[in-house]
Amino acid sequence: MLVSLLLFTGVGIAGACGSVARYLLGRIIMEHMKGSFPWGTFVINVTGAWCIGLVFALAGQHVLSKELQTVLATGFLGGYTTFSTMHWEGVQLMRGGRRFQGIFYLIVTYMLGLSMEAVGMWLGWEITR
Amino acid sequence: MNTLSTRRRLLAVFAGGFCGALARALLSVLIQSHLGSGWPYDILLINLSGALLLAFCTVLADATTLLAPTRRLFVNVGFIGAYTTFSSLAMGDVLLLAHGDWLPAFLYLILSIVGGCIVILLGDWLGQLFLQRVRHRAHKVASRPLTRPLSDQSGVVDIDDDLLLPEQDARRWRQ
Repeated sequence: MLVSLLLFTGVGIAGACGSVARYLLGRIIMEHMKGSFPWGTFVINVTGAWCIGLVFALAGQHVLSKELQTVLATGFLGGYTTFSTMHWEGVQLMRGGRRFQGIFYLIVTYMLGLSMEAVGMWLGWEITR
Repeated sequence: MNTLSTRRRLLAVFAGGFCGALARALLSVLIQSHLGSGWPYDILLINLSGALLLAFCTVLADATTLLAPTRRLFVNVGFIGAYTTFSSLAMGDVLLLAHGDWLPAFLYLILSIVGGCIVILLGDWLGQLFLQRVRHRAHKVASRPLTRPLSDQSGVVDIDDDLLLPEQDARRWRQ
């Protein structure tokens, strides 16, 4: 009971840190990028997917404990990456007359996200072998 | 949004993110205990409900109803941003693919992509509907006959100033 309470608190704090990281990184990227493509959320989601693959593989190889995996993956990376903002941006692009850019944005995020997740997982297995 | 201090903004995102991540973790455990963990029902339901909520709240925030800038950061960027997740979605799908469950993996992906867009539109529509209701009620209040004669009141009363609903919600559509 106490352990799970501590674990959930850890997930909450890690998620809060992940949210702040997303907010700051998103702002920094959008300040440097011109145009309507949502680079901020794109970079955040793809890098977050890569990291969760790495964390999953390292936990599978017992480099990270299960508790640390929960705090990092469910907490930090869950707070860092976002689904809602991504779809909101995609739909806004489609409605704003940039239909193809909106569809392209969503498809590329999903495809690259899944690929990078697999790459992170592979890397985690390779370095612990 | 830039009128808020950096500390205040970060604190709003931090607090929202704490609640959002905690809500996702708890809800995920709850959903898995009811529906099992064979297919990622939990993340799909969490993501879709979060996207619906985000669209709804963004409509209100853009119309400056109920959601002031700090609250917008707390709810939209912090809470819903942390509540929904892309990394767990990607991992769940890759794990399904790795196990050779092509159809469940494909279904998960399609439901996330198409469902996400549909719930955004639905949340937007619900937000507009809610705004119309609020505006309707505001007009009703405003058009109530004055109980005191105008000469008793000091200064000029401009009813429109009290509606709290500027014409900003139309701005989004013109962009």
